[in-house]
Amino acid sequence: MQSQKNFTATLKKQGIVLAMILVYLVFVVISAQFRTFNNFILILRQAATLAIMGAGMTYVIIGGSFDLSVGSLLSLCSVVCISLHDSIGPVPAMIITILVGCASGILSGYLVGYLKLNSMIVTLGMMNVLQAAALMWTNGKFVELRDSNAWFTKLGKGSIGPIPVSTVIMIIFVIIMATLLMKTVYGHQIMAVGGNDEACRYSGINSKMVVLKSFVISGFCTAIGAMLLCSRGAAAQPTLGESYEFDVIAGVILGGASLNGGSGNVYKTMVGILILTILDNGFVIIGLPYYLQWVAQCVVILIAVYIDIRAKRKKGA
Amino acid sequence: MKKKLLAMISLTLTASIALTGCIGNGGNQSSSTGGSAASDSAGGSDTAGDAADDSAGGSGDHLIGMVVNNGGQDPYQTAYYNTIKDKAKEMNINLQLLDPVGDATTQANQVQDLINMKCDAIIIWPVNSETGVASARAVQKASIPCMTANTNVSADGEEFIKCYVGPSNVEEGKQTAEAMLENIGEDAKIVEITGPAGYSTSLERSQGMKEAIEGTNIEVLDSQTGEGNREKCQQVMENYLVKYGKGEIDAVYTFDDNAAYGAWNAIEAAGRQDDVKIFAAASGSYGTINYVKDGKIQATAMQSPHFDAESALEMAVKLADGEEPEEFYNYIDTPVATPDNADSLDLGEEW
Amino acid sequence: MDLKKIKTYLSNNTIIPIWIVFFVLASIIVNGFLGVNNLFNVFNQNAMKGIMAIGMTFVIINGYFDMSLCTAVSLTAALACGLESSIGIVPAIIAALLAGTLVGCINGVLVAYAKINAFVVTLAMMLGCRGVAYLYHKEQSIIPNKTDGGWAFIDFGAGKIGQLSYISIIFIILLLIAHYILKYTTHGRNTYAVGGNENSAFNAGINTQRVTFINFVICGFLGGLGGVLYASFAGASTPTLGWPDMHMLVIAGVVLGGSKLTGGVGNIWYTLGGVMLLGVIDNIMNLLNVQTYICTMVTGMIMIGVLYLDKIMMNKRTEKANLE
Repeated sequence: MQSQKNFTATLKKQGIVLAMILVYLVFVVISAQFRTFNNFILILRQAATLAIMGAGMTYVIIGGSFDLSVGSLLSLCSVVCISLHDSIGPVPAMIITILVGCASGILSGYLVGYLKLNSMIVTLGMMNVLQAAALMWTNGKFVELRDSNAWFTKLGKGSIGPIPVSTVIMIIFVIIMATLLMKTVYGHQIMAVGGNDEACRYSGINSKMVVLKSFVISGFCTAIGAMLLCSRGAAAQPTLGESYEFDVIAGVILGGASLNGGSGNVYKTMVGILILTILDNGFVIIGLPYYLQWVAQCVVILIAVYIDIRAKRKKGA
Repeated sequence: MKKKLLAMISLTLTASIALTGCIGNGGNQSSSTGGSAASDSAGGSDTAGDAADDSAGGSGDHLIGMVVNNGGQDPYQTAYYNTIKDKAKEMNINLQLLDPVGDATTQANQVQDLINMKCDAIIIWPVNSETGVASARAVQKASIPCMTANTNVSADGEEFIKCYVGPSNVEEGKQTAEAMLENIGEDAKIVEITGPAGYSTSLERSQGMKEAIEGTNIEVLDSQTGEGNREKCQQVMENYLVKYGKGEIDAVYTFDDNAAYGAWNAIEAAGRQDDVKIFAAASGSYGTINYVKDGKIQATAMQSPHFDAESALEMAVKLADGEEPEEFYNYIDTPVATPDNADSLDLGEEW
Repeated sequence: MDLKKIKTYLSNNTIIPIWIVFFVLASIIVNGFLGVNNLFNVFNQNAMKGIMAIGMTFVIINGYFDMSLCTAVSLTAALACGLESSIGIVPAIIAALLAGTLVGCINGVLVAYAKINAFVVTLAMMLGCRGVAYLYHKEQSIIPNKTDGGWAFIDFGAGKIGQLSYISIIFIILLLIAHYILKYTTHGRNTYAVGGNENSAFNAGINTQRVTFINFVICGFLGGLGGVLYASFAGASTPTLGWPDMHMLVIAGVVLGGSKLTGGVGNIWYTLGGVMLLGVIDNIMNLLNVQTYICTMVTGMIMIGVLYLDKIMMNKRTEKANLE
C-alpha cells in the first residue's frame, strides 16, 4: 500500500514528464513516419539549442527575473561566430562568441541585479539593442561560412554513431547545469534569492551578485546554443533568433518553474522544451497547416500546465 | 546627491540624442523609422523647411517621399534600401526615406507624414497590398502622384496610383514553376516552403506556381511557412524528409533563395540530393547564381534589388516632373536561371 | 507654492519630470518637434496603443499582465472587417468586441480561477488567437468595403475634429472613464488591493478571483476595441497585425509610466505618459532621420535609461512602500 502511494506521488510530481510521454505517444499512434528512429533523432537535434538556452533561462527565472533578450542575443552570437570563423579561425571565434554572450549577461545582470530595474522592461530594451547590434554587424546581410563542411559544422551536423553531436553536447550541458543548480552553493543561493530576497540579505547572501551571475549563465548558454544552431546551416541571418525567447520561457514554465522565482528544475525545463519540439515536429508530419499548429500548441500548453498545477496542488494540499 | 545624478543623467540623455542627431544629419544616413515626421505648417515657424533638409545628401529640386516595407529585414530589402539612397544622391534628389519596420499601421502614419511634407511624388512599397489601398487613396486625394514599388496594392487600389514598378511576383512564380515542369515532368509530387505568413509577395509567388501547374498532374503534397528564416526552413524541410520517404517527393518549391539554402542543408544532410530537387520562386541575392551553377538549385528567377530600386526612383522622378507613365505595370526583368544557362546568363551590370 | 511639496509630488510621479526632460531636450535639439501639427500627430498615432494600454493598466495594477494582446487585435480586426459584408458593419464591430471580451474571459478564468500562471496562459492564448486569426483571414487581408457602412468605417479612422482624430477622442473619453473607475469605484480600490497583496486582500474579504477576472475582461474588451480601431485606421485587417511585439510595447508604456509590474501601484495618467513617451521617442528618432538600426538600439537604451531615471528619482518613502 505504502509503495503504491509513493509511486502515485512520484507520478504526480513528475506530471510534466507524463505529459511529454503522452504527447509523444499520441503522435506515434497517429503517424507511421513519426515513430521512426530517424525522426526521434531529428527531434533531439532540433531541440538542442532551445534546451541549452532553457537551462540558462531556468537560473534566471528561479532568481525571480526574466530574460527577454536571449532571442536577439542568439542572433548576435550567431552572426559574430560565423563572420569571425573565416577570418580568425573557429576556436577564437567560438571564444569571442562566448565572451559576447557573457558580456551581454553581465550588462543585463548588472541592470537587474544591482540597479534593481524591472527585468522585463530592461531585457526588452536589451533585446532591441542586441538586435540592432546584430543587424549593424552584418549590415543587414546574412553571413556564411566559406566552407560549409568545416569541422565547426560538425557540432550541428555531425553524429557519433547514431547520436548527433549536438544531442551529446545538449545532454552533457543539461546534466552539468542541473547538478550546478542542485548541488552547489550557488545553486542554493539562487533558489534562496528567488524565494525571498529580503531574507537572503539578512543571511549574508549577496543577492545582487547572485542575480548577476544568473544572467551571465543565461548569456553563456545562449552563446553555446548559438554555436550549435549556426553550425547546422553554416550560416547566420541577423534576425534568426526572433521570438526564440518566448519558446525558451514557455519551455521553462512548462517545466514547472514558478514565475515568481524560488523553484525550478533544469531537467524539467528540458522536458518542457522537448514537448514544444515534439509538437512542432509532429504537427508538420501529420500535415497540420501552420496556423492550426498554433491553436493546437495553445491548447496543449494550457492542458499540460493545468495538469501540472493540479498535481502540485494535490501534493501540497 | 540626487540632483547631481539627475543632472548627470540629463546630460547623458542630451549627449546621446545630440549624438544621434549628428549621425543622422552628417552625410549618408537619410532614413527614418516609426512615428511622425510632420512639421508645423500652421504656426508658420522655422521648422517646416528643416525637416525636409534633414534628408538624403543634396537638396535637389525634387522632393520624393518613399515608404519601404522592412528595410533591415532581409538582404534583398537592405540592398534595395541602400541602392535607392545612393541613387537619389547621385541624381541629386531629395529623398525622404521612411521605414515602418514591417508594420502596416506605421506605414499608414508615415504616408500621412509624407503628404504633410508636400512631396512631389510618393513611392509606396506596401507592407500589405490591402492596407496600402487606404494610403494610396489619401495620397491621390492630396493631388500628389503616387506609385507602388516591388509590391502592388490590391486591385481595388489601382485606381489611386499612377503605375507600378517592380517584379511581377506572380510571373516569377509561374516562370520558375514552368522551368520546374520541364525539369521533373508533369506527373510529379512536390512540397512547398512559403515565405513569412501572410506576406503578399509570398502569396503571389505561390499563386503563380499554382497557375503554372494547373491542368498538369503535379500534386502539392504539403505547404508550410519557413517564416523567412533559413534555420526554420531547414527544420521544415527536415520534417518533410521524414514524412515523405525516398521517392515520394520529387521537388521542393521555395519562396526565395534564403529558404532554398535552408532546404538544401536539410536535403544534403539526409543525402537525398538526387532524390529531391529545389526550385526557388525568386532570388534576390547575386550569390545564388553559384548555387544554380553547382546544381544545388535547379531553377530560380533572378530578381535584382538594385535594378528594382533604380527603376522605381527613375519613374518617381518622371512622375514628379508631371509626366504620365507609358505603362501601368512596369515589370522589371527577372530571368530564370537554370544550371544550363547560368554561365551564359546576362544579368546586366546592375547586379 | 511649497517647493518641497512640488519636489515630493514629482518624485512620487516620476513620469512627469521624465517627460519634462524629454520634451525640453527635444524642443531644443530637434527641429520640427515643437510644431502643433507634429504634436497632434504623435498623439493621434498613439491613441490606439493608448486604448489598449488602458486595459493593460487594469491588469497590471492587479498584479498580472496580458501577452495575448498582440494577436487578439488581429483577430478582432479580422472579425470587424470580415463580417461586414455579411451582417453589416455595426454588428460586425459588436461581434469583434465580443470576441475580444471572450479572449479576456478565457484569460481571466484560467488566471484567476484555475490559478495558472498569467504568462503561460496569455502566451498560449496569444498563439491560439494567432492561429484563429490566420484561419479566419485565410492568409489574405480583409477590406471592409462591400457596404456603405464599411466605407464609413474606413473614413472614420481617418477622420478628425480639428487636429484631433476621432480615435483620439475615444481615447480621451476612455481615459476619463478609466480614471473614474480606478479612483472612485469599489472595483478600482479592490484592484489596487489585490495587486498590492493578494493574500491580505483575500483575508480582508475581497473576492480576489472576481476582481482579477473582471480586469482581464476589461483588458480583452479594450484590446478588441483597439483592434477594431486599427482596422478602421488602416482601412483593412491583416493577419500580421500586432505581431510580434505589440503587447510588449503596450506593457512597456504602462510600466515606463510608473505602474509597477508587481501590482498595486499606478494610475491611468501614468499610462498616458508612458505610451506618449514611447511615441515621442519614436517621433524624435524620425525627425532626426536616424537610421533604422540605430533607432532600434537607441529606443532600447532609452527604455533602460528611463527606468533608471525613474529609480533614481523615486522618493525613499515611496520606495519602501512599494516593496520592490
